[in-house]
Amino acid sequence: MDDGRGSGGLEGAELEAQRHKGCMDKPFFLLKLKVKLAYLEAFAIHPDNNSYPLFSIRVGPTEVDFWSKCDHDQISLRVKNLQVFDNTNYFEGTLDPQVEYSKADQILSKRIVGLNTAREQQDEHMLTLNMYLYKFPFEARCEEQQLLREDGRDNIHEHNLLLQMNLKQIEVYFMMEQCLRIVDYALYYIVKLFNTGDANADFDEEESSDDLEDEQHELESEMASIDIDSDNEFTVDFWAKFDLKQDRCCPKLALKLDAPLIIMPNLSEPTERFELDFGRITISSYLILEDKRWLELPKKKFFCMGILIQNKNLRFDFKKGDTEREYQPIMKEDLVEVTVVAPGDSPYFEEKNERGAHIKVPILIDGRVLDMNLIDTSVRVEIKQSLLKLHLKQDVVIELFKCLEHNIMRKDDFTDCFAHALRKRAATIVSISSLEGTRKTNRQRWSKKAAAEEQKDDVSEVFSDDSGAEEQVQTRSKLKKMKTQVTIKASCLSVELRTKEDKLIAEFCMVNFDYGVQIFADDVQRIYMNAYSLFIFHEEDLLTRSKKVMMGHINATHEMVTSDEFYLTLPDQLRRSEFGGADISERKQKVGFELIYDPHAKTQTMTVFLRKLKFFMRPQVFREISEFTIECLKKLDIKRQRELDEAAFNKPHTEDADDPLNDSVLNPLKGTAEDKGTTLTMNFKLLESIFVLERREF
Amino acid sequence: MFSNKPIEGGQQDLVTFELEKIEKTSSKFRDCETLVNLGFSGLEAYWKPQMMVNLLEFIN
Repeated sequence: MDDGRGSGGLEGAELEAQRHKGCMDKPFFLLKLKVKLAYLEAFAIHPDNNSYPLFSIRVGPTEVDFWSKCDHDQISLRVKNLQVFDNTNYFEGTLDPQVEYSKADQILSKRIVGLNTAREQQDEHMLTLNMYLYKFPFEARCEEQQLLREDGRDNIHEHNLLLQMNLKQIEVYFMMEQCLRIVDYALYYIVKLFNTGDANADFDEEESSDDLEDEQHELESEMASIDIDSDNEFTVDFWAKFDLKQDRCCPKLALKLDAPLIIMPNLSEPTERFELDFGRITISSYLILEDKRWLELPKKKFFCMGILIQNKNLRFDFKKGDTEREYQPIMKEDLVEVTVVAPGDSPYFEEKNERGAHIKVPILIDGRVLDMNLIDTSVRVEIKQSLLKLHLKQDVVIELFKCLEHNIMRKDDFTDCFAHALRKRAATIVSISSLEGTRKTNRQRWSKKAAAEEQKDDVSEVFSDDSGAEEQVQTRSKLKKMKTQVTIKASCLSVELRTKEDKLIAEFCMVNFDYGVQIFADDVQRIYMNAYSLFIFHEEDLLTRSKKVMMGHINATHEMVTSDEFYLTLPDQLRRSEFGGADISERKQKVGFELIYDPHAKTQTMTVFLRKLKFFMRPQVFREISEFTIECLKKLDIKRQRELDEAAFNKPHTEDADDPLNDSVLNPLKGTAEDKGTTLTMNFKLLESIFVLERREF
Repeated sequence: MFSNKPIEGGQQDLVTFELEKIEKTSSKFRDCETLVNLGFSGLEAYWKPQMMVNLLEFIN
C-alpha cells in the first residue's frame, strides 16, 4: 500500500529521524487549554409543560485538556461521575420542580445510569478518554507510535485518529419506557435543535420531489443516449485496475469498558433483579484488505475497517437480595468475540452521492458504467462463541417473564402523554420533520420505482431465452447484494429447562450452530439458523452425567454423556476450523430454519428442514415440556396485556396521516395498518430420519 | 434556565479565565508559549425545548 510519503530517500529519512528525535526529546506545544467544570445538573423539562421534569443528568467534576502540537492535536477528557435519573413522576404537587428533583437520587428505581459505587472506589474517574487527531495522517508520529503498534498487526500509517477510552464499572437500570423516553427526548429536543440551521440549509437546497423526478428522468435519458459499447460495459482489465478511491486510513480504537452492568429490576419486588454483567470489554480497530467484495473480480482488493470486540467473563443471572444463588447462573461465558467489518468510504458509494443518498445514480467512468450492484458494500457482523449454554430453571424463567412484562412489554401511564407531546411539538420546533417527510416520500417513490423496474426485468427474463442469460446473472448478483449481514457462530448451543428443584426436564442442544440475519439491498430480510445436528436430552443421571436421548443424530445411541465437555467428545471432523477442527459445509448441515420476509410483496416464507435424525418416541418428555411452558405462561398477566392491546387497537387514530413523526416512525417495531395482509408460507421437510419405538420397563 | 450552584470543595466563582503568554526566552518557559485555563463552578440548568428554540432563533 502506498503510504503517501513517496519513495523517501536519505534526505526524507534524515528529516523524519530529526523530527522524531526532536519530538521525543522535547515535545513542543502550540497551545495548552484546560477547561474544568465543578458540577453540572441539567433537567430535561417536558415539552408540553414547563414544570414537569422528564429526566435529569448529573455530571461530577470534569476536566478537558486540549493540546495542540505541530503534527497533531490531543484531547483528554476525564469525568468523575455521570448519572442519569428518570424523573417522570407526575403526581399532584410536582408543579414545584425543586421538591421533586432533590428526591431523585434517593429513589433507587429512578436511577438509570451511574457509576457502580459498590465496586468502584470514589476517587476513580468514571470515564477517561484520550483522542489524538493527526493533521497529516501519513506523517510519522512520535510518542504514539508505540501505542499504535501495541497489537503488532498495525501499520501506524493506517490511522488518522487514535482514540483511547477507559470506562469504569457503570450500571444501567434498564426500563424500556423510561429509556426510550430519554432517547426520544435526546434525539428530538436536544440533538435536532442544534441541527436546525443545517436542516434549514439542506431544506433550502433540497429540490422538490418533482425536481428530483425530473432529474432522475434526465439522468436516465442521458444514460440511454450514451452509446455504451456492450463489450466495454464490463471490461475485466479496466475494472481490475480501477481505483475506488477508498479511505486508506481508519481510526485506531483502543477502548476498554470495565464490567458494565445492565440491571433489569422487578418493579413489583425491589430485591429481585436480573443482571447482565459484561465483564471486561475491549474494542480495537484495524484496516483490512478484503477479497471477494467485487463479485466479478474476486481477487480485487477492497479496503474495510474491522472492529474487534472481545468480551471476557460475560454473565447473566437472576439475583434475589444480596445472596448468591446456589444454582448455576443462567449464562456464563468466558470469552465472546464480535467482529464488525465495514467498507471504507469511497466517493463512488451511493451514500456519498450528493444528488441524494437513496437514489441510484449510474456512475459513468470513461464511458463505462460502474454498477454498484457488483460491489458488495455490506456491513458484516460475526459473533463467535465456543460453548453457549443457558440454564433455565422454571422459577427463574417465570421471574424473567415477569420482568420482561413489567420492564419491556408494559407501557406506563405517561407514554401516550409524552408521545403526544413529541408529535405535537417536534413538528413545530424544527422544520426538519417536514424535510424528513419529503425525503421519506422520495425514498418510497424511488424504491417503488426500483421494484417496478426489477419486476419488469424479471418479466423480460421469463420470456427471453438464451439472450436472457446475462440478465439472469445480473439479477442474481443484485439479489446477492446485501446491506447488512449478522452472523452468530457457536460450536454448541445448549438450552436446559429445569424444574424449581433443578431437575432436568429437557435439554436442547445444537451442534455447530449458525444464526444469521441478512438484509438485502431490496429490503428483503432473511433469518436463518443452521446446525450440524440437533439433540434433545432428558432424564439426567447425576452420577454418570449421562442423559437419555429423545432426538439426536442418526448415529446417536439412546443414552449419551453430556457434561460441559460434551462438544469436545464429538469427533474432530465435526468441529469448526476456528475451534480446532474442520468447518461444517452447508451440505453437511442436518437441521435448518429459514424465514424470508419480502416487505414489497408482503410475503413471509418459513422453511424448516430436519435430516438424518433419530427420534426416540418418548411422549412423556413432550408432556413435561408442555407443562413447563404452561406453568410459565400462567404466571404472566396475559389477560391484562390482551385488554391493553385491544384497548390500544380500538382507540380511534386521530393523528395526521402525513405526520412524519407518527407512531411507526417513533417506534418502528410497532405494527402498522400496512402490515396486514402478509402471506405466510410454511415448508416443513423431514428427510432420511428414523423413528425408534422402545419397550420400556417401569 | 440556568443558575450558578457552587459545591463544597469546588470552584466558587461562576467562571474563571486565565491566559498566559510565555516567551521562549523566559525562565518560566517549559514546553508551551500559550496557556489557557477556563474554569466553571457548579451549574444547574433546565432544558426547556421551546425556550431553547427561541434562544437559538434569537442568536441566529
